Amino acid sequence: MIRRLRDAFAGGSSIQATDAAVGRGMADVLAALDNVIDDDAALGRIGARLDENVPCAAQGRGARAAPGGACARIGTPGPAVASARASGPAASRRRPALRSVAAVAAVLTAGAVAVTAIGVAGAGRGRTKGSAVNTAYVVKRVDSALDAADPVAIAQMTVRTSSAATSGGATATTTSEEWSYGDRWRAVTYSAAGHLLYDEGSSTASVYTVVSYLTRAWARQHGLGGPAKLAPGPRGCESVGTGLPLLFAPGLPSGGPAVGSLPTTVARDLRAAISCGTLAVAGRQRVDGTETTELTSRPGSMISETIWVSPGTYLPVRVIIRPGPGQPGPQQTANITWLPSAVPNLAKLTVPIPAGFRHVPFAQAVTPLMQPTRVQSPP
Amino acid sequence: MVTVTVGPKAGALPAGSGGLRDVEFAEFFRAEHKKLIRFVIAIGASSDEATEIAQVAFVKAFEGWDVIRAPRAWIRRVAVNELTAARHAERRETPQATLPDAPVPVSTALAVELTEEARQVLAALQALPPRQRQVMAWIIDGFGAAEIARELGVSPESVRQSHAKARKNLGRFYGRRKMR
Repeated sequence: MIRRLRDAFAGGSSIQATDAAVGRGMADVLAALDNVIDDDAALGRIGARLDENVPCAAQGRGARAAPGGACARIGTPGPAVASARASGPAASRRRPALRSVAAVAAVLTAGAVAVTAIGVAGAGRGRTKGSAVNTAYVVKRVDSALDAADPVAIAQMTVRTSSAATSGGATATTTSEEWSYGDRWRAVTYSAAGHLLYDEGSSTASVYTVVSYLTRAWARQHGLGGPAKLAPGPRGCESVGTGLPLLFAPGLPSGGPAVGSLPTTVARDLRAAISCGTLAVAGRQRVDGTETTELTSRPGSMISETIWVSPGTYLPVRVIIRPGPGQPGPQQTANITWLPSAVPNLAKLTVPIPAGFRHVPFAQAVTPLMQPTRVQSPP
Repeated sequence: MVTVTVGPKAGALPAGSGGLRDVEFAEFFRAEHKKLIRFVIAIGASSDEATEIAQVAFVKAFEGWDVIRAPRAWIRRVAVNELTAARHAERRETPQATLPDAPVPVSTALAVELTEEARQVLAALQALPPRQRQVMAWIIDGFGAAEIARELGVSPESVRQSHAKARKNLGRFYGRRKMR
């Protein structure tokens, strides 16, 4: 009692309160360090000092070195991969018929939804040494990015789709300009020779418009083209894995984007995919002169996906989708910029009907576009 | 995810090194890197110094990874030795007149991120005598008296006494802050 009184008069604090204050303060120091120290870069510097690289860092306790120097994961595929595999041939059949916007929007909105695999060969080229970072750190960075994200930006994408090589070794390539803004989207597709093939999009009222420059015709259909709605709020790993059917909604020429591709939605879904292990951070890489974080899909998936995101906003700046080993389908590359939702940019979401084009029944307009060979038949 | 081994020493790693060893080390690095920096700051280094010391300690840890039994304690002991050596070198090489009045504890970037509570605890630790500060740093990182005693080369009882004194001094520090 005397000691406590003496401490009190000496301006002391109770031992428990002191311990608690020290504990909280030191936890805060660690949190602050977390925000300013880049483990990635530090590991790279250590690699440089040792004159060798420290690999496979972010793959967790299940990681092991595979023959040939590649890292591999021990363990069974997660629910997402299982879901994709369960979809099996149906999914792989449907996939090639999808237009790029659907594929890219799928990546954007579902954080790859796990239908993916990682290309091992050459995957380390151009990367920062020891560049993998841990999941918790990345998830935290995405959370920060979510807070900072402009909720009303428009995704503008240039998507190149290369069909699988024919028996003669040739590939066909189309390019499309795409815009996505919440539940509105538009895509203008060009042949390899640069000819305009078709223009399509969906308005907020789910009015799907398609203009075929091949047949000089256009059609409009209500109730199509809108995004499939996912359950609101945070989605667990199970829904990330089972989100596949929603993202690849059949019945439209393109499939359309599944859910709104607003920055907040995109970043949130990327966060979910990283958190669930569907996507993993593979390192840092420069894309068009900008430092990005590279995310890759899980090995062994049907479709391989690589997403480069801005470390500041966690919004994708480039996405590459490839069929998994032995899987058919096109390769798609999307370069993405995020535009402010100003009037001139919003106007890009509207599909214009050129003068002199015929208004035809919807089925007549979309049937030619549904042909799998359409990307290979420029006018 | 590719294991890339580059540089002229790539083929000169000790027997037994390789993928799994590297993965283990990388995991350890990610779990301990920032904690080690915090530890070094807690024992009296500036954040820049702590970052550099942590790097040196991890380089040494990687080189000796195959024979290190308790890496968490080992790397802290190395860090303490590095800081001590740096302090000795400073005393040898820097004229006293040019020493700053007070050390710069944190970089600008870290200062921006620190909460008031974090600033206070760093200030409180800096106000402790060196031995008490060091014991507190080990305790904050979850080490017990016996382990700390082994690392510092003192008896467990001595560690407990230093801890008790440190807590008392910290209590006074916080008490004074409260009264202001």
